[in-house]
Amino acid sequence: MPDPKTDDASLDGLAAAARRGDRQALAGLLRGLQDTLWRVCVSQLGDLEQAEEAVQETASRLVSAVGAFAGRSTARTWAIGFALNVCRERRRRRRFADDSALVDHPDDRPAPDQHAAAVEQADALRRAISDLPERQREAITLRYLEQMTVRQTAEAMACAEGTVKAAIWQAIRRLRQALPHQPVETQANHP
Amino acid sequence: MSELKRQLEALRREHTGRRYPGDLASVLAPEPQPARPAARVALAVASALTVAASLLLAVWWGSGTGRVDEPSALANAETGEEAGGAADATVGEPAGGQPSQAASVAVDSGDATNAGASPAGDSAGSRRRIANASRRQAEDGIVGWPRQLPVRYRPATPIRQSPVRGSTASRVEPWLWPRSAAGTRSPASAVLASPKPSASPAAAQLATGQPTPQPVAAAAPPALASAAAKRRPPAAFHPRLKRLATSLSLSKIATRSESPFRS
Repeated sequence: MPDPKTDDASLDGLAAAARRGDRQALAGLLRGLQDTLWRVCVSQLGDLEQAEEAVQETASRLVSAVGAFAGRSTARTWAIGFALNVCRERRRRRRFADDSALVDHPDDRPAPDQHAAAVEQADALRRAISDLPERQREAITLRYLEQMTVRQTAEAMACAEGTVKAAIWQAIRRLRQALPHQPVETQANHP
Repeated sequence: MSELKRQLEALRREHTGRRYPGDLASVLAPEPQPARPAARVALAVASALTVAASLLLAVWWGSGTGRVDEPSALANAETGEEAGGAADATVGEPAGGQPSQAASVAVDSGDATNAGASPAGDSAGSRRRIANASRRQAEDGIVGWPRQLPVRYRPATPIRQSPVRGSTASRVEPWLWPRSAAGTRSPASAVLASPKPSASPAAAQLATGQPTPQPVAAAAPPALASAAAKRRPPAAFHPRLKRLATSLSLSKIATRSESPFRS
């Protein structure tokens, strides 16, 4: 399997070719998006099995809707929008309420003793993110973990950029309140 | 950098390192492989042969079921009997000498337009009855009746009818049915050929157009039986016409030489 192209320009080209009926381009597009979709689904669902099903369902929807891809946004943003919709539906369906879901997913890297404190802090942060409301969790995930711009985040979430900024500000405030040893800062010096 | 940002950065590095465990392109269904031309041709030929065999079977079966299993006169008589009072109700001449009043059309196929009789002066009802009758005739393959088809029609060749499907006595001449009572043929054909007692004389007369001949008794002398055999067969309507007349309960077709629709 060739190394998938993951940059936005290549993905946009593959999406345009797939829209014209090129199945090879469609396969390349899915391979280029699969890691991004996997990360988004894991961060939103917190369960690897559920995330894998969500990724496959997202891929099915992408295949069905690739003919309608108009190119108004990048293919990555467009695909993440599908993944977010799938994750929302799945969370609403099963009423995702397990507090330890994000913490319990397996980490294949062994944690040395010297990093135990860091791992504990990371688990606490994941738990705090999982406790966030839906929009705030999506905004934090896309903005900080996927390093998308505010505009791309807004396109993926299908909302305004101001909504994204407000959601990020509220999410950071909640995280600071939830995490231990974190002074509560109300200043809006968020990225 | 605040502690939260450091933690978020650490979480981002871990988050970015995740890889999907598999190939997402596998959700794409494999492209359908075109069937080999020979296989497609064979499949098409087999389908055509199957369709042709089905059509032949349907035609054969339809021709078999289209036969009249009983002598036409008796069949019509039975039909008239089974039709209840509909046939008898239209036999009689209506009061006032207006034939069209008696031309009531019985409901035989659930057609609501035929329900009920209309008086003689109802020209719309007459036209509707004529239209319905013409439509039925067109469905039966008769075109132009009653104005073009002769009322009395006797076929040039004897109508061969099979009393029972699959029976050994498969062909019975309709005018030889009196002999069947004499025991000269199989019991099944004799029963079918002999007039059934349940058939009313009016219905039989309706079907044949002539007084109903009485069957010869089984113990009749041979001379009488041969005389009955040599007797000229009763004039018979075309079976399709009689069937149509029975279904329409139009006794005038059988008893009069002109159609009640001409009035």
